[in-house]
Amino acid sequence: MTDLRNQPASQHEPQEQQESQERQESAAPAPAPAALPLLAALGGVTVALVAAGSLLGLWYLPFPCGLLIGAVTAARGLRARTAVLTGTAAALAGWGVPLLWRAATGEAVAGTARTVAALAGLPAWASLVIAITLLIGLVQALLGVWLGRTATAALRPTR
Amino acid sequence: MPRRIRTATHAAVAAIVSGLVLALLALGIGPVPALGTALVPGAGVWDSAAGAELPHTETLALAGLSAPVTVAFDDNGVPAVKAGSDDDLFQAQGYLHARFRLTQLDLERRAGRGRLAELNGPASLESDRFELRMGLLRTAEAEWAATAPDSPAGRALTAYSRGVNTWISELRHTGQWPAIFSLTGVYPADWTPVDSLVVQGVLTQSMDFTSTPLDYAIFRDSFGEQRTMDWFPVHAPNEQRPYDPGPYRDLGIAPLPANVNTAGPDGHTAANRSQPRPAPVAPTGTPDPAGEAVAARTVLDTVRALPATQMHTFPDSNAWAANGPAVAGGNAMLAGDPHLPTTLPSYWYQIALSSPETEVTGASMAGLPGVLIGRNADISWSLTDAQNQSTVFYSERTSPDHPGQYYWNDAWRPMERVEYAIPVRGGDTEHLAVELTVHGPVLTRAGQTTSVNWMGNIPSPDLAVLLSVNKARDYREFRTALADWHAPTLNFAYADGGGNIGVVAAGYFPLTKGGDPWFPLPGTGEYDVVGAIPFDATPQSYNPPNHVVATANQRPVSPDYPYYIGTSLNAFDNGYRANRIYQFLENHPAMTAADFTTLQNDTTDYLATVILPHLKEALAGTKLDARQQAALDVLNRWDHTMRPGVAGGPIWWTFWNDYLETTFQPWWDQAKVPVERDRRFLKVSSALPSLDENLEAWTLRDPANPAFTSPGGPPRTATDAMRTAFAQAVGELTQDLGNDPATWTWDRVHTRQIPSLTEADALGYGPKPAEGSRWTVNAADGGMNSTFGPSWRMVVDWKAPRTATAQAVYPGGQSENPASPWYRTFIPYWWEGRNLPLLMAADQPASTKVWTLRPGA
Repeated sequence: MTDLRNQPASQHEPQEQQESQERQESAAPAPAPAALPLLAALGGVTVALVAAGSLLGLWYLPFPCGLLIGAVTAARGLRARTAVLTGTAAALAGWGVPLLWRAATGEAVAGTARTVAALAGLPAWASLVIAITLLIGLVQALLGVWLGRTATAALRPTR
Repeated sequence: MPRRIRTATHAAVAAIVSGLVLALLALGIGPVPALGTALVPGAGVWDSAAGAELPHTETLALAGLSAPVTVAFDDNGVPAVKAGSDDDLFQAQGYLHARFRLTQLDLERRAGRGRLAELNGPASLESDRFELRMGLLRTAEAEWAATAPDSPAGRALTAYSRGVNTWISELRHTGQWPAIFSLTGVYPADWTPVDSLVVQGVLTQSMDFTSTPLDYAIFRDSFGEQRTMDWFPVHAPNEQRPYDPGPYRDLGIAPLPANVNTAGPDGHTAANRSQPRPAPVAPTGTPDPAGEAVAARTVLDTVRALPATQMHTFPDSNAWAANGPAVAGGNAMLAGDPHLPTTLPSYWYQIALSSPETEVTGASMAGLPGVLIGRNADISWSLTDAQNQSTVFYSERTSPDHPGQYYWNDAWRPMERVEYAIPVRGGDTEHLAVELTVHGPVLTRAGQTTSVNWMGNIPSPDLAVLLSVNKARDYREFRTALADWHAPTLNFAYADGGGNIGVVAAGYFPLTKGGDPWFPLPGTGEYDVVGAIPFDATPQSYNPPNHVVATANQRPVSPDYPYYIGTSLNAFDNGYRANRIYQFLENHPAMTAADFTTLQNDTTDYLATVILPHLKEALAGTKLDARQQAALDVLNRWDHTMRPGVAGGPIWWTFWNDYLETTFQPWWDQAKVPVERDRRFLKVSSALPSLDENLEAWTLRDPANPAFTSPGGPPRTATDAMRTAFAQAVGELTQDLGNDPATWTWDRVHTRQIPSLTEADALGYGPKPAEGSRWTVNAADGGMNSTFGPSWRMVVDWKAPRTATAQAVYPGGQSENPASPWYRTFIPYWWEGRNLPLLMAADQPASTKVWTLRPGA
């Protein structure tokens, strides 16, 4: 099997070169230990932002946070999978923590979820609305990651 | 493709998809709400969880209070409010209603104002169109305009609104809206006194507006007038017990104030004196039964699509009182259980109110200050629907040569037009033009231009009356206050600490110049409503000689009453509950509160006690198969109660419905009655009181009535029809419940349900197997899965002047939040037939949950 990562770029074969570069990005090795602090910081900041933003009703914050994660990971040449995992963690934790906090302080989170499900004409399962809530945060974050990475790739100077 | 283009395209696609998804989450689409704002965990619907928390002792600031108010909650959430003035008292009540019933308040207000579609989307448009045509909003605005700001009602409404708005204002800051608002993104506007009067209008409509003349028009079109009146007569042919047996007085006609929902030169003026009745006028114009039937079908399509809480459907309420030797101790007792659609939250919010001017406890209604049913230190009262005809339909004469006009009193008159914009969530705003004639709003132009003159459209100072009743100290003050009550027409049952009891029918009983008002009348002027029965001549009873009085929607007077008040078709109840109540009361001397509670939960089917001996007689001469014999054996052992675990009820019930069908359905088929237009009241069923009454009377006294012989069929009698129906019933039950009649218990075929006001199934209660039927005192109406029934049960036992014990319960809870522990608190008690203490504010035990409301910003 040909190892594309080891093939030099050729100016006579620009398309092949570009494809090769993309493959290199997507199949990049797991983040080096040096990238972990970056990812941890990125994850921590975005979780805090998403959670704090949700308290202020800023429901759209998972998207810009995902955008940030996508852009930074792309710029640092980290794998798409790494970006997706970081974005997923940021969204789920960022929106999950306020829900957990509500439940921990005695608020009727499950009861409210059941009420909302019933009002929406869905089966009155608390887990359904909680899942939809987290899914909305997650979708936004992943869209942000996607746009962040593709925009970074588009804006990157051609080598 | 070059890389730059490809990556740019990729990024553009990502941007577009992201934009679309974010826009969808921000704005929603069609019926899908803006889920981003709705479901964000730190706000949105999740903030409504705070509304499920139980109150704790704290001090709250309420702008507008003149002095501190205390609100002490008992363990079930019933507040005892103590204030230094009525203004503060009603502001606190408004605040409580808003805290615990804001969704209900807004839904009721929207229903009456024709703004439900703004919240619910296109599904509610039909309701909005209907209510804007009917004019609850126009009436409420006129009522408020006629209310002096400094009058007790004006001050109460203003203070109440201030209380509601205090909570709405808090929610605007905290965002802790009930879930339905956060989910839809449609939030309540400030509450106004007009909103309270609109809510009063919705209740009035649900008790007082009837479409019966439209059903009559369809029956006349199908059967002809003679048979229609034979089978749906004004006076029922069966034996009934009116609470006012006479003697009666003809006191002429009391003029009516102007109906605010009319156009033109209507010259009615308010006057509190009677006038002689005008002589009947010879009819003119050409009746158009077919056109009227088309119009009737069109309006009925709309009416039947309305939510149950907006339309009068079943005649179900009980109230009775006893005094002297009929009660233990010799004083007086009152029982009341108004039957309404059972909903979560309930119509009622229990409250005890105390100020230097007011001391009252009982059932308040979300949207209105004061207590609607309850007791004070001196008197107690409850309500039943008077069931009289308060709605008169008119067939207007129109012509293509006179567009926008109608013919009335020998001249073409312009219809007035009122225009409305109806916002629709997820749709375009709809524009509606309402046309008004001198009779009232035009409901349809299909087939026949039809308008309606409804007593609920005459401004009625109900709140002023109610506040006076809350303060009344004796029967004289009680009755004097009720003289000003106009709509809905209700029977007010009464008992006081002086040992007095009574019933007063208060409200307008409209009278026409002539014609048969149970049909749509020509609108050319000869049949107009000219006034109402004077208050002194309405049905009333005070300290009757037999020491008991009962109102259960039966015709309150006997046939020799000198005024027309309604017919047997879906106006008055067929009298089975009233007969059973009188039977119980007159056979139980020295009754206690426990006896009254027992009667409230009574499930004896009175009609079964009357009919079954005749059925058994009819079956005695026939050869029955083994299962039929087993079914008959069950009936022989049956105690006539419709209770879970008791066999017999399903056999009786199925038999009776099959007996009706066997007798009448061939006639319906032959006449091609369009039952699909109003299945509830056109279809052959036990929901048509006239048919039950006919069949009962014919079975007992006229078994050879020609109606038993189907059109074109061999001669038949009641005996033949009963045999056929019994065999049919046993066959049906075998199919549904198995081979052993001993196991055919009522709970296998009958359930009760308490649906959510939001119509979300999961937020309701049930269906669960339950007792009762539409004819039992413990009524269960609305079909085999009953959604109507006792909405509040109350018993007040007077021991001496200013000394009473009272109990009450309703099928719901004080909070409308489904996640609150107080959402369904009372249902188990209600279901088991148990009442809870109904205490005055001063008698409430010490509470661990006390709000101190202080004047503040």
